[in-house]
Amino acid sequence: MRYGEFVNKVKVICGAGSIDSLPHELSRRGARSVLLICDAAGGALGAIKSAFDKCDGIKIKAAYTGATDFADNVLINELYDIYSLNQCDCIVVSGGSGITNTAKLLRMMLSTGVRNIDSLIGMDYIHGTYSVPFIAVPSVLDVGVDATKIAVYSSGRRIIQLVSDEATPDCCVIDPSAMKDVATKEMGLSCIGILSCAISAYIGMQSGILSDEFAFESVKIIADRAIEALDGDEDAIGRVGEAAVMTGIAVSNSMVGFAAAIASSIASHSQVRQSEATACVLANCLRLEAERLGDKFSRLLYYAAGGEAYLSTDDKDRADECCNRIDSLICDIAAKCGIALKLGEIGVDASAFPDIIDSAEVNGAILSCARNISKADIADILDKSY
Amino acid sequence: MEHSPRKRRFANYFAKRRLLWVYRGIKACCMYDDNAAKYCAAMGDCTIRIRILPDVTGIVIRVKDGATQLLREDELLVHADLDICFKNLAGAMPVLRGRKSVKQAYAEKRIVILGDISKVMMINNIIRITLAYVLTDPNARKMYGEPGNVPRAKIINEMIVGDGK
Repeated sequence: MRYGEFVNKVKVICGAGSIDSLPHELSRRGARSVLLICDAAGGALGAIKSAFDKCDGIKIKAAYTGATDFADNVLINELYDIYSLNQCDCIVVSGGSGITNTAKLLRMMLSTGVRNIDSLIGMDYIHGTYSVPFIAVPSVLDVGVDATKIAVYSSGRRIIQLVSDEATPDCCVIDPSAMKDVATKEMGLSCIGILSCAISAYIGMQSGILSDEFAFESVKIIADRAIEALDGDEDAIGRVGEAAVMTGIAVSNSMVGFAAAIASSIASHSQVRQSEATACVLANCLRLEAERLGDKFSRLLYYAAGGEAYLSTDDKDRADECCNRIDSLICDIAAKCGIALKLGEIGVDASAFPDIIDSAEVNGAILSCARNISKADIADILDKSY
Repeated sequence: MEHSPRKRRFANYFAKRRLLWVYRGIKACCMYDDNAAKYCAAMGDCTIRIRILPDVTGIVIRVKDGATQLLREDELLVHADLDICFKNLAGAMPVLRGRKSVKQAYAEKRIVILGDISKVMMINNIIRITLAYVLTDPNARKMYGEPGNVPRAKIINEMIVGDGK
């Protein structure tokens, strides 16, 4: 039996009206004074404030509302000061990946008692000493960043990644009403991002039986319900939210793959969003991985296309068929939302390719790829995606 | 598996010798192999500690101007720029003996890291290049690929007769 580790510390509460359970979840963790951190674009702010207004024991002591695409140490320190000044004892965050990462990093600082976030850089090294209740209420479907133990921030020009159990929230509340204001294009990009991370979590070297099941279910939900979610079906949106959390759990125990590494490098060198870059490179990355991991992709066909498609395809063709089905799904989502699928169309300049290749080659996510990814592979992906 | 204190001391000693052997290989490759030298230069000036918990057996390498230097025990720093810790001997020894790649150990979560994870990729590449030169069995070929263009004898010679510092 192969050695492996699996951890899932996040309590997930999902469904209509789940935001009303926030005060109860905080009170059972001994919290009284909330620091509420909210994205300006977040649709959950009103519902969260209303939930606390109905409750006597727990109050929002301080609230920070501000849009941020990316966590940075200046904002983290500012929030640390707000938390200390107002004598808060717990954190509630609602928003996208930028603001959620910021809250996660703040929690890591508070639980370890360090003042400088740069001293916590590392992987699985940090252990908290102080308990700081932390609840996330996603208002965008952002690849389950609320449930992962990975937090990313910028320090000057560097992008730094931290991996620690202290970054996971105690509880993640998925309320479809908090996500209904998300723009269709954003939701489409999120669906593609969830698909990318779920597949990467399955085919990565760190995957195990437990994380695989979360990844499979995520892929199945995206394949079955993504288009309905883009049409505004609230139930489908909730299911995609659950898929996002499950992907986050799978990624926490496996790792994102080299599609994410390449997309991250493109984003840092070309001023485009990582989600848009992922949409462009994902299909080509999967085809490259399928050359070596045919068995895994064969199995994935069952979840991506259904049992009938799986049974009606010959064993030797299943990997290719899986890639075709996923490619087709990405194209359908892109067509519905107006998402570009070529790097040239989103504003990436081919002259930036050498820098992108150098940066992607040393991205930590590549360490989990079963195949040794070379510069030639990355260059090939970029050329095909351009 | 329970070890007596004597066995544990021997296991730690053997692990330390193995780490030093790997370091000699890294130093030789960084001197002669272009790819290894490039990765070493890309790391910038930094200090790397590779150790095996819980008994803190380890080595500390200083990288400066593309060259590596092994720090003496009494120069060991409390804080290194990059600290790679194997959780235990059972996780470390297969890697140090070339039975398992660093990637596999990372995948099995045998390693915890304090410091910039991107530098771990560079160290992984350097170790991969080193073990491709040093190990000759088919299993290692499969894991680490073919060695670079430098004659293997040159690398081994430097590992044996070089000062290893």
